[in-house]
Amino acid sequence: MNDFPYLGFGVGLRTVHYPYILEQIAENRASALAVQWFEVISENYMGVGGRPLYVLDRVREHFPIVMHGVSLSIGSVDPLSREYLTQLKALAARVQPAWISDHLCWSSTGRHSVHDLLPIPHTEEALRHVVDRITQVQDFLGRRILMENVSSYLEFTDSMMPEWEFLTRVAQDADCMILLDVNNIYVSAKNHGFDAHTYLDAIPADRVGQFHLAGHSNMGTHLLDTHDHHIIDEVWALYERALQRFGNVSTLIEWDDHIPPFEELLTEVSRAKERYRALEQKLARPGAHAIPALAADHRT
Amino acid sequence: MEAALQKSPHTALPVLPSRTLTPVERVDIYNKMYFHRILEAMQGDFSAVRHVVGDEIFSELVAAYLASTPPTHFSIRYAGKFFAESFAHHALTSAWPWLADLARLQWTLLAAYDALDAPALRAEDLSALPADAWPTRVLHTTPATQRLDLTWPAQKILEAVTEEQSLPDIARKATSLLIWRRTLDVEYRVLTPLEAELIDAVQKKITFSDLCELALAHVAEEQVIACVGNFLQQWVSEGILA
Repeated sequence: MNDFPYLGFGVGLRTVHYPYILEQIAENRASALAVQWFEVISENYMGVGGRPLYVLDRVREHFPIVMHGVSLSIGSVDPLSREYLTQLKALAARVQPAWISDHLCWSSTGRHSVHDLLPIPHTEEALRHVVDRITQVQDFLGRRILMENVSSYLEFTDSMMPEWEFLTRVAQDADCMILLDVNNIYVSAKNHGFDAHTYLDAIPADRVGQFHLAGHSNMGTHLLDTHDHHIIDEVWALYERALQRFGNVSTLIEWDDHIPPFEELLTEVSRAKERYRALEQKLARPGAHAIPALAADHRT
Repeated sequence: MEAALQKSPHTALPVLPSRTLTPVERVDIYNKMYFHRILEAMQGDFSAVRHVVGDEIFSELVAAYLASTPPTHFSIRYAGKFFAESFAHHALTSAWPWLADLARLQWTLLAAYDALDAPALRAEDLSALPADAWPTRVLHTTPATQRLDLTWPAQKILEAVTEEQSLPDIARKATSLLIWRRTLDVEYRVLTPLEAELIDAVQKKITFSDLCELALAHVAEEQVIACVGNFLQQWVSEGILA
């Protein structure tokens, strides 16, 4: 149980949906979008203007926004980028997001950006390193951030603890929150042969501020976190277990490749809501920060 | 990374095998994802270049580019910044000599698309300027205003691709373009050498009187004020002056 804000059900704000979303807003039909909040990729709106920022401003007038970064590179041994953090803080000042998140990974080395979410060895040294950097970031931004567990395709020989223990200790030692990606747990569990339930059960309930749900691809030898498919039944089952364990936690549907029309994306949102409704009475923190009303699917 | 992986003995990688994959194969998943993620971004940024050369050659161009110029910016938006230069002297240029210019044009259009916002100078701002303030009034352009000098009129290729027409035969011809954003939409037009020179000067910031001095090299003295005034009127209507 925790007192983190609860926003309900959201989707990522993606360029292909700009015209549809703007049309609904212009015609006073924001409620037809049937989501309660939007998550934006922070980097897409940092240090730019024009249409991207215009659309973000319009959406912000009708929905809460959450900023989700992909380039903080919290696990890198490169110094934290002052330019990056300054732009991130400036965007947050403009957008006033409900919260800011990024990934528990590294994505840069030397002067190079790999534009991917690479795993961190689960060692005491890496733990201290990451905690120190999250603390620096939170001090700079003047707010707590959320760290997301990533899908991974390899394990380091030097790792001394399971990922769920590493994630938990990072969150507790840095006093940050967790963005729990349910699909990523499933993907990594299959790739590394651990029990996804063990992972979920080990995460402290008071640290989880948001869920991610997405589809993935089965490559035969491994699962790949591609965000380009519908969510599979096994991940839905894991989500139900997560709801039961963590209670009213804001849920976001991610779809980043072969993105379907907005209406099709909403079918995934509906599936998440159905599972929430079925469990609503049993959830932890009932009513603590209850969804305003599932019937009112947008902020008015 | 690929070469390093091929040379690296399995035991040298600090990575465990899985039930189905060796350590090298597990690292190679990231290797492939790195390439495909950037390839996908650049396919969008250079859609016309991709259309012209096809997926296979475009993929080879991106692979060669990344080998020599790995991304340094935290945003993937800038991964293709030096792409045009990377194949300017490629053998492909014998078939499509304007290909690098087409890439430069697409990149510059993108720069105008999401450049920082800034209020544009309005006609009433200039009308309100006292006569004695004109000579020292500093002129400059909005962040979205871009200038581009091409060796080939590559905009004709872009227009054909956009309109799904067959590619035209174009002759080599120095082409100066003005690219700007009016509210949210990006526009471009071809400039005369005089207007290109004047806008280049305005981009670096210049007073009205110095701009007139610059124009004097091309225009009779009695026509200078009218000539520069006409340009100013057009630039204001296009929203390129800040």
